[in-house]
Amino acid sequence: MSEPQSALLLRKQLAELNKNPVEGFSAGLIDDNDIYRWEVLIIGPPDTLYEGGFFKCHLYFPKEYPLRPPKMKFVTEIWHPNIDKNGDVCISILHEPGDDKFGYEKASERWLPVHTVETILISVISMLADPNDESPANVDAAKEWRESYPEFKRKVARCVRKSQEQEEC
Amino acid sequence: MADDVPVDSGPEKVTEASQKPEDDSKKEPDAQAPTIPENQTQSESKPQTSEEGASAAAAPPKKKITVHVKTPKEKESFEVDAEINIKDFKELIAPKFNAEPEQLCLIFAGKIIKDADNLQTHNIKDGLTMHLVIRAAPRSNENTPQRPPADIGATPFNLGSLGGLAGLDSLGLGSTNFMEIQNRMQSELLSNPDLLRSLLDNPLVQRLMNDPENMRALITRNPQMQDLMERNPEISHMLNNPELLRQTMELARNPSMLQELMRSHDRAMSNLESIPGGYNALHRMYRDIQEPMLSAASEQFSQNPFSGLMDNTQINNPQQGTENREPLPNPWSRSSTNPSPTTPGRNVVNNPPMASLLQQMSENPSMIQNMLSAPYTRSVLEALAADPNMANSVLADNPLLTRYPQLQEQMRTMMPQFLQQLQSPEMQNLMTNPQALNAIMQIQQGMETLRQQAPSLINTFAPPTIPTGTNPTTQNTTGTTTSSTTTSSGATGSTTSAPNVTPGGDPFSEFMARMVAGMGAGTDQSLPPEQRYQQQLEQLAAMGFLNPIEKLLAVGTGIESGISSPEDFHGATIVLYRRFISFLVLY
Repeated sequence: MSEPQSALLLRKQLAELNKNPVEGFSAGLIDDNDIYRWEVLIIGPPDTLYEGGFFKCHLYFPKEYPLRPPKMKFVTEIWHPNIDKNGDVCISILHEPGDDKFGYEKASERWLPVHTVETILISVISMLADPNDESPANVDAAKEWRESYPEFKRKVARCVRKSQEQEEC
Repeated sequence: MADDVPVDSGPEKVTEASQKPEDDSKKEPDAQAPTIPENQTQSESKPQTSEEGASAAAAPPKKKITVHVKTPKEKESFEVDAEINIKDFKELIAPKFNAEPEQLCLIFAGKIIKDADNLQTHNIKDGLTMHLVIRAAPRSNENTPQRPPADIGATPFNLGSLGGLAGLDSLGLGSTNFMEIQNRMQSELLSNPDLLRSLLDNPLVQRLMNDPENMRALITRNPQMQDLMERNPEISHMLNNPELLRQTMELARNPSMLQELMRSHDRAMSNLESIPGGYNALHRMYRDIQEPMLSAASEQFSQNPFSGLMDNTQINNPQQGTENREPLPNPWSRSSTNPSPTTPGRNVVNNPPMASLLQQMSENPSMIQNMLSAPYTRSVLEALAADPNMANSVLADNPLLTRYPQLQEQMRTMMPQFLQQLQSPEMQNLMTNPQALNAIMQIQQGMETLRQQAPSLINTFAPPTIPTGTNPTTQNTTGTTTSSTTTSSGATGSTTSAPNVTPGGDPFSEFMARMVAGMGAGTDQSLPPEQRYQQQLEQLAAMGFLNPIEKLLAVGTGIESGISSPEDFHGATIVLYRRFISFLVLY
């Protein structure tokens, strides 16, 4: 029996990531029998507010991958302008290709079939360090980030501490 | 990685020892194996199958795999037993990364690998790579360079309110739990962190802490704390909840309990978590309350000139840590920091510790009562009274007194009576009488006014001699010496039973006598009494003697006849004042 192309592609990426992991995150499967649901642990990037934290997120790939993007959701509580309060990540490269409903993004900024788990995660990690407050998913966080940064920092520090406790090793 | 020498773990050696000798010879080819990438499954056997098969009957062969461990900076390879326990694995790799096993945090396939697991649980096979995060050392003073002391005075609680955690992290101290932060703060702010702990363990402090009202008063008086409360309304809210406050103090006192709560997900914690908002409340409590409170408290302890006493005599007095942290202010001296004349008499009361101590004592007699009646205090006092040497050593070690040898000498001779006096019920009654304390406060303010308004008067009345032999010129130039001498000698002078009070040993009564005498003799009798005695009246009014003055004015007599003898004066308030001062001198 032959696996669909998406599964083969994901399996290849997983094997490569296990052998040569990329700095800043570690990727595996939520369930070893389901190649479409990934579990990723993002190591809080150094020199950012999120340093020291361990943020768990899930990636849900569609069968149409790589033609359509996966969805990404933070399981660990995190306070960030571009991550909504449910943990869903709002980042342009994960937006469906084609017409942009809101007219914000160029086609080149949205999903492209060349993206892999690695490129997605690298984008997300850089987003942690450098939020984009033009299209916030968490309006409160974005407002705080802009207007009362100390409070924003405090909330992030709380998340970091909490993530350390939940992910105690 | 080809050059990497395989490191043997302890358990590995044990298993090898139990194997047959052939296994040792087999180890050679094995050691070089890791460099060759093996795309093999776990069940695949080694090249030496036949040899192994012979020994397999007795003990199943241990399969070796090579795993790589990657940190942001380096990548190391280790040849280990395929079923090695993670805890052992951490111990094995820790030296390579110059870290303690507890600091290591291994991550594989999106999961943090726990100590109890082994490599197989996570399906970590030959040639795979794990992430390694090295966390900050649990004790900063051992493994990380000491940071310069935080300037708590300038930015009191930025540490807590402005994301101080992230700040610490960015300094490379990536904190992982609250105990670390606490330790770090203590080691920064105090040269001796145990001091704080021992203070917190002191039964007296515990008693204080168990009374939420007292705690509240103490905390709210602290200007830094007030500042904090302004910024975080939730804190003032919490302070209004005595039960919560009590729990917080309990936690602050019991580091192991704190650690337990912060580190382990035990039943208690999960219970708390299951309460809606309980988890958040706990966290808020740690960060917003305990942390700033510790820093506030630590700062005060570290500035306490009497803290040296504790190391030598184990006198752990709550008062000395929490409020009276400065040398006794000198109401008589012309201090260099004179306030503007428009705010007369604010110098002494402006002195925050003094003012707040006085205020607290007057408003909160039960606190003093508690303190005095505590068996601990009593035993300390008794010990001091019984053993003059002990008292001497206290005196000798007191940094305040060492600067003034003659004062020290004087205090030494006066110590026994002083202690006696301190234990007398009379004294304790005074301390618990709010009105008496109020009176003392008024007198003190009044003396300050007097000092500012009529410094010449003070000079005039300054006693010509002092038992220690300090001559008048030094008195005028070194204010602290004068006042300290005055207070200490006054303290003993008021002890009626004291047999060896020197005639001139009571400068204050002498001062009063002179004042009265001066008023009687040196003024122009032709003027009406109000004018004649105006200056003195003002001074007395400022000293809090409002009623006597009204009375005096009404009858039109001289002050000297109103205060017929210095003894009356003493009897009424001065004794109280001096005793109070002497009390302060001890603490």
